[in-house]
Order: sequence, then structure tokens, then C-alpha cells
Amino acid sequence: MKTFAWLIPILPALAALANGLFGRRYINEWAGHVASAAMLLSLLLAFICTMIALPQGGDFVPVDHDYYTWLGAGTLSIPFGIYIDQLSVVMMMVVSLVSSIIFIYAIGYMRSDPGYVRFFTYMPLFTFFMLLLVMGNSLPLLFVGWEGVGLCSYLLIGYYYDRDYAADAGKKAFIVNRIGDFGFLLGMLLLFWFTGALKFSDLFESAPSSFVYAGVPITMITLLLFFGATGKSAQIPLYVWLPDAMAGPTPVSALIHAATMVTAGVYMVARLNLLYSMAPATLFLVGVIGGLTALYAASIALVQRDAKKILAYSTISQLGYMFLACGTGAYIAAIFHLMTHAFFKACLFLGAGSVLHAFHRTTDVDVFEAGGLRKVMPFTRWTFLISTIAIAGIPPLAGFFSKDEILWKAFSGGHLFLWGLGIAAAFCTALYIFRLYNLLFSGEFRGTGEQRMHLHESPALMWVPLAILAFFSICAGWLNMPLFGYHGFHNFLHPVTAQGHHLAEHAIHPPILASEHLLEWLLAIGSVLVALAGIAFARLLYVWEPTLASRMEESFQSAFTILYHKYHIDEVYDLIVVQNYMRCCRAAQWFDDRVIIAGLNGLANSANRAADTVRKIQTGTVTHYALATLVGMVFLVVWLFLCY
Amino acid sequence: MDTSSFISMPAQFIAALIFLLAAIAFVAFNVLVPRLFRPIRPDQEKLSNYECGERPIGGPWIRFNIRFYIIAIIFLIFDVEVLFIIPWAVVYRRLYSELGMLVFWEMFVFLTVLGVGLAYCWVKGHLEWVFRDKLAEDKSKTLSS
Amino acid sequence: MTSIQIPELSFSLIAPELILCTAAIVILLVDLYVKNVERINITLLALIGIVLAFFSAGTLYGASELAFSWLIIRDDMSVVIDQIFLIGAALIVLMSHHYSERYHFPYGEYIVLLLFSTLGMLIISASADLITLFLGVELVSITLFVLTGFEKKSLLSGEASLKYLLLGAFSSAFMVYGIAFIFGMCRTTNLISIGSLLSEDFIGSPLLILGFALLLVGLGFKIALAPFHMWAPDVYQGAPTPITAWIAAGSKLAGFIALVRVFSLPDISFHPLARTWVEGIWWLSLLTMIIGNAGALVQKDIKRMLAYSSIAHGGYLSMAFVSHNDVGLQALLFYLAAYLFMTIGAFAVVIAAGRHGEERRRISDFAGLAKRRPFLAAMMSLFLLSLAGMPPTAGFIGKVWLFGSAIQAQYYGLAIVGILTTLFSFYYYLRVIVYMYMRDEEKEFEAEPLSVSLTLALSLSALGVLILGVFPNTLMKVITNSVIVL
Repeated sequence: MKTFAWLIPILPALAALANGLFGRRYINEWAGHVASAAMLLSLLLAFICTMIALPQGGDFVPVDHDYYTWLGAGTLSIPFGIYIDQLSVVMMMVVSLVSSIIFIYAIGYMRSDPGYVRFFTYMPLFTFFMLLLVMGNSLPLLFVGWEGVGLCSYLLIGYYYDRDYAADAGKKAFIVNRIGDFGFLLGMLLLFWFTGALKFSDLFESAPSSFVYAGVPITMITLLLFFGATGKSAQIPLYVWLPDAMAGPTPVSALIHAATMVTAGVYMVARLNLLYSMAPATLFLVGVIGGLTALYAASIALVQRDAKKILAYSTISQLGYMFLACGTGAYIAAIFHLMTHAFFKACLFLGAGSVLHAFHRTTDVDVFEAGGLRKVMPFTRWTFLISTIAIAGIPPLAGFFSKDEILWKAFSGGHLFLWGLGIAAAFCTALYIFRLYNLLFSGEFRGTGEQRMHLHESPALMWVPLAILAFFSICAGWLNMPLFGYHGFHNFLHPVTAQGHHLAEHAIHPPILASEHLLEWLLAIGSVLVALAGIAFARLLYVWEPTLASRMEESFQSAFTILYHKYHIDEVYDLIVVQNYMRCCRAAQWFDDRVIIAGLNGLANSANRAADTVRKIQTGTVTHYALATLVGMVFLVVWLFLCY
Repeated sequence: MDTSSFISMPAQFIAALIFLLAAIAFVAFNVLVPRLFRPIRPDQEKLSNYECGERPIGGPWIRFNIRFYIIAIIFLIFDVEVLFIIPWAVVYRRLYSELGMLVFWEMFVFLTVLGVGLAYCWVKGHLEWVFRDKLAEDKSKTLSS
Repeated sequence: MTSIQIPELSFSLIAPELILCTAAIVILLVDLYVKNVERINITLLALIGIVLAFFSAGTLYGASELAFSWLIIRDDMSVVIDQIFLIGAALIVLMSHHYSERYHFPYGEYIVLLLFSTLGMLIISASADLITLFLGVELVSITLFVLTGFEKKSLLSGEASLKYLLLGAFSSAFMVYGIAFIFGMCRTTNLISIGSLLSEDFIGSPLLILGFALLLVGLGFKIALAPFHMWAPDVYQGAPTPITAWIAAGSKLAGFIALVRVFSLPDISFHPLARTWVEGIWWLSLLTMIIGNAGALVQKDIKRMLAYSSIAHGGYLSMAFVSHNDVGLQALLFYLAAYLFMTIGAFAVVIAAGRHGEERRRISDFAGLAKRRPFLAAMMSLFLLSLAGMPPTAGFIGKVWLFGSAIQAQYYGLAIVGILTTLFSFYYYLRVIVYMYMRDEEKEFEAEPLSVSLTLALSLSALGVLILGVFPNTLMKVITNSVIVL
């Protein structure tokens, strides 16, 4: 496997290079095909890897191979190498599959965009970094990928750089991520400080002996790393950049800000589950943050008007679910949800993109201006509906199985509070997603007549990818159906988390007993009922009784306003963080002007004086030069004799 | 090598010092002592600079033809060459019995390198007193034709 | 009559030197006897010679032998250094191909001298004896004296050549004098013998210190350590630009290798002598860093600025002798390689940015280069940033390693001065970049179109800077191994 696995990330990188260097001159409208072809090849290779790993299941021995030692100095050795275990295989498949589909979709979607080549330079570059992130065999390599996807995300959010809000959104994403990355970097350095290892294999070997269970160092480290994850994966308190990130083109939102990059934090926690299992305090915090984010973001999504904003908050909420799962020690459930979410959320975003395409808009569409699209856009409608049902958690679609497993793990692990948050969020999820669906596709068109004229179904190049994603939204959940006693996915990934579970006394999964199995069934039925209630409520509000929604809005005016303004968090951030930051900046500027600059000026003046002296000494006369040499020699000899 | 002899080494310089002092004493004696006895009757001929029989004309700080230096350098090279060839010729027979033709070829290579240098000077016209820039002439010829 | 001891003759060990010498002589003859020989053919001949020498050096890895009655040492370090020299020489030949066409140099002689100076450098890197060392140093110096004055129509060039010759001869005298003292004390000029002598309980007399001090002065002149640096700005400014690059990169490298050969003798680190000269070099290094960077701050001429920058780099590099440990030596070798690429690259851009009779000499001439010639501006920025020590370039890795070695040897003061002066250096490096990217050009200035040879030289240098910056490990490994052998 090691002979070809390196090609998986390199192929998209080559495509990015080709498009970046020769795109404008030679490739032009073929840029999308170049990128897609590279991505498909990469997918094929990832698939071969999966085919090698899958039959061996839990017995698959991780491939850990260093191709090249990047830096080696003393005990520090940073290799370029890959680490392919069950977790990487899953991530590779998800990333390359979703990327391939979205690239193909984007060929159609971005067709007429003037920045076509630029788009297809950044996108494969992003995929390269993402694959590096999930395949790298050391923390620094993961960090390179981590920063790389951040960079690409910044570039792609600001893709429409001539619009102020896009540029601002890019900046916001970058700065917020940098804050998180600072924590990540600090955590990584601390980890190296304590264990002397940065390669995963070394880390897993030395960590159990280097740290005390629940000790301060391991808690510090995992907290710092998790802080990095809250930035990248948009959790409280660093989630604020993701809704704004929708300023980028829709395929970007689908790939980067829904399916892959934002899940990097979850991947990181799952990858380092060994460390997290040793820090119960951190795990508790991870669970609580995840649960709160899930409910909080879902509640905001209830009242937003922009389709992509709704989906963005939905993404934040679903990521919250994943962290909730991590917090309860159910890393595999988190990864499972990551996978199913990647499919249905990508499908939702691309569906929204298809709608935007019909509206000839690039980034935002007010859901109240849409409606009745089912007639003009049948393919988009059906695929959107499938993924809507999937995210709402209705069996037998993918979302149900993964979400239900998380809730069950929370419940059976005794985290009733988290379970409560999860159920509440599940209700909100069903409500907001069907609100979105109903507003977009049901009823009558509410836009202008001119808009209605232009409405059209997207070309096959766009709806075929949608269909593929919809297919996966249906089937992906069948990989793991504990309700029916099938644990395929769980068993496959089990070795990744086995050591961690072994270490964490509290997180041992209880064997599934008959009575508990019954309980599991009951809970599953309960959560389905909750979801159905949400769906019915959405149907009631926006289809059967459209006036009810506005009446409710009037009677709960204040609540609506708060939700619509996202709990005024942006303003609060502005007040607390930005204003204070500005105040600090002004203070710093004062300090800078009065102390630093003055000091520096003094320093610069003395440097200038020194420079002047040097210039004056340099007379251009050979005898002076010889004299300097002679004087220098005399001083040197005298000094050496004195030292001797 | 025994290191004790190194420590006393500065002492061995005393021989050199004595030699130096003797040399100074010798010159001083020969310059100063005759001054006591010889008659001193200077005239213009006697006071003029000695230039190997040439009549000194003009100041000594004039520009010399650069050709002097080049000829001197070429002379020096072939002068030093002799320094190598003579010892080599002296022991040639004995070295030949041990090393064979290698002895010959080594000197051959050495002389070839010097020969290339000589050829270079020759072609560039440095061996002629009246300098002709052959390359420049060639160039002008090709240009005119 | 005592029997003559016949030294073992291992010609294969000096194959690179022999090949280079042969190439030079062949070119000389071709230039003499073949009428109107094309410039390109001479370039190709020179490149063939260099490449052959490069590969023949490659076959010598792992040799680790003394040859020719201990005059020559062939260890891995000398091979690495030889290869670095040869790469540099190839780059300079490529640059010269373009430059000599612009100014109509007698190209054959020029190339021959260039190859001979390279030969001198190879001899230095393989010398195990002070005599061989001196031979190499003089071969480098004398050829460079001539090459410096090659721009016959330029007064500056002639002045530079004369200054270089006079001061060079002056410093060579110091060097020979030093060697004489060392010979007087140790009764041998062989570095290995001197090393083993000093590692025993032989203390020597103060005259030995004098000998090494004079040697240090002589070599310090070659690498332009303050206060023996005075010649450098004038010579760098006056010399034809490829030769400036070669003095800055090759000659400096050679001087440092000579210092390595002399001052990093094995087994003598505990000799009081070692401690003493560390004290001396400490001051020289400090002074050089300060004077070099201070001087560069106010320069208006780009070549002069780069000259002071080169002096400053001599200061950083000599830090390795102060730290006087394996890490320092490794860092030195690595930084020398990195320094070669970035300096040659920067001067190549200076050449490429000009045209006949109208060079971009002042820094303000570089205004607006980014608009007119984005490739050149990008290259220049890369090399300057590397000189300043920005990641991910080779200069960054080298500096970190060098300063690290000083810190490891607990010379904190020196390391701090190094870091501070580096910060100052950003000012004058970035100034050029600011001019290139943010100022509009004062007058129309169209440089010559980029020739193939110059493009090649530029991209190879850039590649070197980037590869050493991003993948430093390959060279690091070779260097680490070679220093262990030493």
C-alpha cells in the first residue's frame, strides 16, 4: 500500500500545480476536467486502499511509512510519511469521494465564472491539504494539512474578492481560525515537551507511560488541542466564522464548510482518542460544548432567511453532535456521523447551489422569495428531499443510524443531560430542515415574475452528482445498524479506539444485553417520533397553515428577533472582544508610538551613526585599508597573547 | 618525534641571531672603517645614481613599459623550471629503475603545462617587443573582408 | 646517500582537480588555436569539465585517505565541499556566458581563469598541509585579481583589481609569515602532524599563538572579517558582476574551508590554543556582524549593499568557529552551501536586470521591476528573503542551525548579537523588495531579454535555495556524516 498511497494526496496537488501554472495560458476551460480527473484517480487509489483494508477488518495492521525525513535534529524528527489505519481509510474515502463528486458538480456550476481556473487551482490544493491532514503520520504533518486547509478555505471564502463582505468573511474565518490554531500549536509543543514524540505511532506508544490518568498535563494538552478544534470545526466559542463563510461559491461551502474541512477537528480528536481518553475533564467539556453547540446552532437555524445560512448553522449543529459523541467516548459513532453527514450535507448544499443556479445568484437566496420549485426542478427537489429526510433522522436513511447511535451512546453512558440536549437538537433539526425544504420546494413561487421566467432545472453535470450523493445519503447508514445487531463499521474501526477505551475506565461500552437492547429500540422509536413531530410542525407552519408562522412570529416577537440575530452573538463579540481588542490596540499603539518607536528610533539612530562611521572609515584609499588590517592584526595578536 | 626538543627550540634561534649580528657587523665594518681612511673628493659623476653604466636621464619615478614585467615573469617561470628539471635529471636513472616510465611522463606533463603557457605568450605576441594585438588584427581582417 | 622515499601517487584521489585542470588547459588551447571559436562552445567545454569533475568527486565518497605524502586529504567533507564549489562554478559559468557577451570579454581567457580559481578552491578543500593550503589560496586569489580587472574599459574595475592585488598580497604576506612561525614551532607544515602534536602535552610557546594569529589575519582577509574587510566593498562594486558573485560565494567559501582545515583540527579542542583563538574569533565575529550590517544599511549601490551583506554573513559564519563543536561545523557547511546559492542568485538577478552600458546599479533603479519583469523581481525577493533568513528558504534553516550551535556552546551574547543584527538586516533587504514592488520606476528601463543560460542559472539557484529550505535533510545527512568522519 505504501508504494502508491502517497499518490493519493499528490495527484490533486499536481492538478493544482498544473492549473496554477498553466491554467491561464493553456488549460483554460479544461481546468475543471484536469482537477476532476486527478481527483477521480485519487479516489480510485483510495478505493484500492479500502479494498485492501476492508477484508482484513479489525485485523488490518496500520501502514506507517516514512518516505522522507523532513527535518531531523537530535531527538526531533519530522518525517514526511503516511499513517493508514482504519480511521484514515474511512476519512480518505469520504474526502476523496465527496471531493470527486463536488468537483464534477462544480464544472457545471462554475462554468461561466470568470475565476474558473483560479477556483480549480484552490480546490484541488484544498483536497491535497485535507488528504495530507488525514493521512499524515505525525502531528506536525497533520498541522501542515490543518493550516493548509485553513489557507485554502480563506482563499475560497474570499473567492469573490471584489465584494467587501466576501473579503471580510475570509478575513474573519482566517483570524478566528488562527486563534484556535494557536491553541493547537501550543498543545502540540506541550505534547512534544512531555512525550518527546510527534509521530502518531510513537505517541500512542509513549503517551500511556508519559501521563498520569486525568493529570494536569494531559488535561492541559487535550484542552489546548480541543481549542484548536473549536476553531476549525466551528464550535462554541469560535463558531462565528462559519455562517459568514457562506460568502464563498456553493461547491466550496459544500466541500470545505460542510463535508470535509470542518470535520478536521472531529478527526483530530478521534485520532488522538488515546490522549482524550486519559483526560476525563476535557472529555466532559468536549461533550458539553458539543451538545450546547448542537442545540444552540439548531435553534438559530430555525428562523434564518438565507438558505445557505440555514445550512451553515445546521452544519455547526451537526458538528456539535459529533463532538458530543466524542465527549461520551463514542469516537466511532462520531466518525460514523461525520461520514453520513458529509454525504447528506454535501447533497443539501449542492441542492441549494442548484437553486442558486436557477436564480442566477452566487451566494445567497432568501427562502421567502422561493417556493414551489418542485415543479421546475424535479431532480433537485427529490435529491434535496432525500437528504432532508436523512438529516432529520428518519429511518432507514443514513442520518437516523448515525444520530441514533450517538444519542444511544450518550444515554447508555449515563450522560442524560447530553442526551437531552441531543434530543432537543434533533427536534429543532427536523423542524428547520423541513422549514427550509417546504419554503423552497412546496407551495407557490413567491419571487418576481421575471425570476420565475428564468427558473430552470440544472444540467445533468450538476444533478447527477446530486443523485449520487442522495444515494449515499440513503445507504451510508447501513454500514452500522446496532439496532439489528449489525456492527460492521464499529468492528472495523474498533482497533483505532481500543487502546483508549482500555485506558479510560469510565468509557467502557457495556455489553449489549437483551433488556438494554429493548431500551435501545424504545429510544430509537422515541427519537424518530421527535423527528416526525418536528417535521409535522414544519409542515403545519409552512404548508398547511402558512399564516400560523407569521402569527407565531408576532406573538413571540422577541424570541424570534433574538434567534434571527443569532442571539446577538456577533454584536456581543464585537462589544466584548473586538471593542476591547481595539482598546488594547489603541493602548498598544500608544505604547508603540511613545516607547517602542521612540526606542527604536533611538536604536535606528545609533544604527545610522554606526553606519555613518563605517562609511567614513571606508575612505577608498588603499593605505588606509592596509592600516586597518595592520591595526586589527596588532590588536588581535595582543588580545590572543593576553588570553593565552 | 620527541617533543622535548621543541620546547628548547627558541634556544636554537640563537645561532640565527648570531649569524644576523655577524652579518650586520660585517657590513658596518666595511662601510664605516674605509670612511676613516679614504680621501673624500666628490664630483658630479661620482654623486650621480649608478645605473649599470647607463647615463641617468630624467627622474627615477617614471612609468616603465609594462612589457618589462611580462618578460620578467616569463623569465622567472623558465628560471624556476630549471630548479625542477636539474634534480630530476640527476636522480632520473635511479627513479627510472623503481618507477619506470612514470618518471618520464611526470616531467613531460610538467613541461607540457609550461609549454602551453609559452605557447599562449607566443600566440598573443608577448614575446615580441613591439606589441601586436594579433587577435585584434584578425578581427579587423575578418571584418574588412 | 639515503634512499629517496617515493611518495605513493594516488591520482584517482585527485581526479576532480585533474579533470578541472585539463579542462582549463584544453579551453586555453582551443581559444588560442581555433579561429573564431563560438562563445557557446567554450561554455559547453567548461560545463562538461565541471560536470565530469562533479561526478568524479561523487565517486570518492567514503574514501577517507591521505595521499601524496600527506599533502592531500580526501575525506567526505572535502568531497561535499568540492561538489558545492563545482555547482557554484557551473552557475557562474552560466552567468558569465551572458555577461561576457554583453561586454565582449576575451571569453576563453576569462573562463580559463575561472576554472583555475575553482581548481584552487578544490585544492583548499583537500589540503592536509599548510603548503597545499597556501597554494590553493594563492591560486584562488591571483586568478581573482585578474578577473576583477577584466572590465578593461571601466575605471572602477581597474581600481578594484589594483586594490585587491595590493591588499591581497599584503595579507598573503601575513599568512606566509604565520605559516613560517608555525613551522618554526612544530617543525612541520602538515596539519595532521600539527594536530597530533598539539593533542599531546606539547604546549608550545607564545610564538605558536603568533603563528596562528597571523594565519587567521591572512585568511580573515580572504573571507572579509572585520577589520580586514575594507577591500570588499570596493572590489565587489568594481568587479564584473559574475566575478563579484564568485568572490562573494566561492572565494568566501574557500576561505572558510581553509579556516575549517586549520582551526578545526581533530583532537585539539582541549588544547589551550583552541580556547585562545576562540577568544580572538569571538571578537572578529562580533565586529564583522555589526560592521557588515551597519555598512549595508546606508548603501545606495546594490552591489555594495550585497558586499556588506556578504561581510555580515562572514560574521555569522565565523560564529561556528566560536562555538567550536560538531553542530557548529555542520551548520557552517550547510550555511555555506545555502549562502552560495542565494548570493549567486542575487547577483544573477542584478545581471539580468541590466543591459549593455546601462546596469541597474543603484537600489532605486530597481523600482518598478516587479511590473516590468515579474519573474526577476520574484527571484530577487526569494534570494533576498533567504539572505535575511526567512522560512521556508535555505537561509532560515542555516541561520537557525548556526545560532543554535552558538547557544549550545553557551555563547549567548554572540547569538543575541547575531539575531539582533539579522533583524536590522531585514531593513536593507526588504528595502529592495519595497522598491521592486511598491515604487514606480523613475524612467523607462527595459532590461535585456533573459537568455537561456541566465534563466538556467537563476532557476538553479532558486531551486537550490528552496530545496535546501524545504528539504534540508538530504544535505544535512551528508554533512552530518562527513563531519563525523572528520
